[in-house]
Amino acid sequence: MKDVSRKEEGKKPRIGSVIFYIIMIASSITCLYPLVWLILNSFKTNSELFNDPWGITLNPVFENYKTAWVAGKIGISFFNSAFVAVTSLFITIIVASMAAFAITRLKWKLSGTVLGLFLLGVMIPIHSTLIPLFSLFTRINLTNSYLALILPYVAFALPTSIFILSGFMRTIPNEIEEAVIIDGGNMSKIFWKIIFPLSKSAIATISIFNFVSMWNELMFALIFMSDPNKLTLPVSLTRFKGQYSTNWTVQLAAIVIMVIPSITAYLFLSDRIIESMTIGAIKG
Amino acid sequence: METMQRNKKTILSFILPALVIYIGIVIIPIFNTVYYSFFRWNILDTQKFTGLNNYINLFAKDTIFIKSMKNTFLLMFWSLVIETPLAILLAIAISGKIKGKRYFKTVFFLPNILSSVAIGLLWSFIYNPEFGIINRLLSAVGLNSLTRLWLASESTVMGSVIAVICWQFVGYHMIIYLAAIENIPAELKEAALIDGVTQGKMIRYIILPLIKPIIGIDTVLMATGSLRFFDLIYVMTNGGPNHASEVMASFMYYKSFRDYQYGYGSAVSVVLLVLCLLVTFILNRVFKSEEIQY
Repeated sequence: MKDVSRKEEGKKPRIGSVIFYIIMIASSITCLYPLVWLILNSFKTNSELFNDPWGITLNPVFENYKTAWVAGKIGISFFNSAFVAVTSLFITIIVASMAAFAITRLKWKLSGTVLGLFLLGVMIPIHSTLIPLFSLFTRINLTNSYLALILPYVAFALPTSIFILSGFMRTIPNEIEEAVIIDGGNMSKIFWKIIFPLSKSAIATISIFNFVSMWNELMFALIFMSDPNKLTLPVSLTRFKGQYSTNWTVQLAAIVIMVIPSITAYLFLSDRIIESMTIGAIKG
Repeated sequence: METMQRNKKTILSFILPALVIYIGIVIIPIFNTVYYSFFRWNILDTQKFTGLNNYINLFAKDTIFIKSMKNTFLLMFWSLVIETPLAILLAIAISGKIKGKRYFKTVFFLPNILSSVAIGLLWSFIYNPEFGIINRLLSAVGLNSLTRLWLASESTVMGSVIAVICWQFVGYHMIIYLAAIENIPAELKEAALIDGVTQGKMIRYIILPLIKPIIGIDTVLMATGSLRFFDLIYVMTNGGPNHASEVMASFMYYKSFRDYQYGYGSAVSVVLLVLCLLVTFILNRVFKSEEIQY
C-alpha cells in the first residue's frame, strides 16, 4: 500500500508519511516498553523501584536473580519445564509423523475418518477434559509425575501437528517409495529413511509452535502438579507471587528468567517462529 | 507396493500410538465430563445422580456463573471490536515496502511468544497502584484524579484485563491479515491505481472484500480463544475483586479445584464446550461466502 502512495507523491516526504511513521514507532514502543521496563527494574532493589520506577539503576543487583533461581526454586522449575516440553515435543514429533504417514501414504478405508477425528480436536477446549483426567491421574497415582503433563501436552498437540504433517506428506511423490520397495525395503524403512527425513521442514514448523505452547502452558500444570520440586515455570511463577509478595524486584527477576529463553530464540529465528505460529491457524 | 501399503499390521503400528493417546486423553474424557455433569459429586460425598440439577442451578440460581458468562462475552466482544480493526490497519500499514517493515512485524508479534503468566505478572506491576507506571505517569502529568486501583476495583478490572489481552494478541492477528493482504495479486492494486483510486477506496473496495474469508477465520479464532480464556485472568485477578472479572474458565477452575464440586464444574465445562462448538458453527455460517475469483 505504502509503496503505491509513495509513487504518487514522488520523492519528497509528505507530512502524512511523517505522521504515519510517528504513529507506527509509538505503537512499537507501546509493545516493547513493558519488556524493557521489566528487564531494567529486575536489577533494582525494592526501594529503588519504589522511588524511581522509570530510571536505570547505577548499581545493578544480581542478587535478585540468585534469590529467584535458588531460594525461589525457579532454577528447579526451569529444568522441569525444559524436560517436560522437550520430552512432549519429541513424542509428538514421532507419534504425529507416524500417524500422518499412515493417513497419507498407506491405503485403508478409514484413513479419512481418522483424520477427521483428529481435526475435531482443534475445537475442543482443554477445560472439558480436566476433571476426568484429574480423577483418573489421582486414582492411578500419576499426579506429580512428569507423565501427567507429557500425556495431555502430546494429546492436545496431535490434531494440528497431524494436520500440517499430512498436508506436507501428500506432496511427496510416490516414485521414491517404489524405488525403495524394488531394492527390497519395507514400509518402516520407507518411513524412517525417506518420508520422515523429507518432512523436516514441516517437522520444524510443528516443533516451534508446539514448544512455545508447551513451555508456556499453565492450566494442566496448575491442576496436576503440586510438589514444589516438580512445578513447571508458569505455575512456579504464580506461587512465587504469593511467597515473595513484598519482594517485587525478585519477582521481576523470576519473570525475566521465564521470558529470556523465548526472547533469545526469537531474536535469531523471528521469521521462522512467526510463520510457524500462524500457519496452523490459517490452514485450519 | 500395493499389498505392503494395505498390510493391516503396518497400518495399525503407525496409527495406533497417536490414536490411543488422543482417544484416551481427549475423546473419552469429554464423554466422562458430560456424564459427571449429571451428578452431585463433591470430594467428601459419593457421586449422586441428580439429572439436570447442575444445569438448572447454573442458569437459574448461580449469579456468579451468569456474571462469568457475561464477562466472557464482554471479553469476546471487546477483543473483536478492538483487535480486528487495529490488526487490519497495522497489516495494511506494513504490507507495503515501508522502512523498518521487518522491525515492526517482529516487535508487534513479540508478546505472542511470551507466556501469559509472565505477561500477566508484568502487567500487575504496571497496574500496581503504588509504584506502577500507569498511576505514576498520570500523577506526573497532573492527572491525579484519573489514578485508579486498576485491578482491585470492580469498575476498572475488566477494562484493564482487556487492554492487556489486546496488547498481547493484536500482533498475532496482524500477521494473519498481513499474509492475506500480501496474497492479493499486485496487478489488482496496480489496475486500481491507474484508475485513480484513493487509499481509502482501495481499502474499502479491494482489500476488505478480498480478505473477508480470512476475517471470518480470524473471528472464529478470536471468539473461541476468548471462550477459553484463563491464564491472564488467573494470574492478574484470580477472578476478583468479588468475582468482578470471573470468566467461565476461571469459574470452572474455582468450582472444580477450589470448591471440589466436580459434578458442578463438569456442567460448567460442558457449557463451555457447547459454546465453543456453537460459536464456531455460527460464525462459519455467517462468513461462509463464495470462493474468491481473482
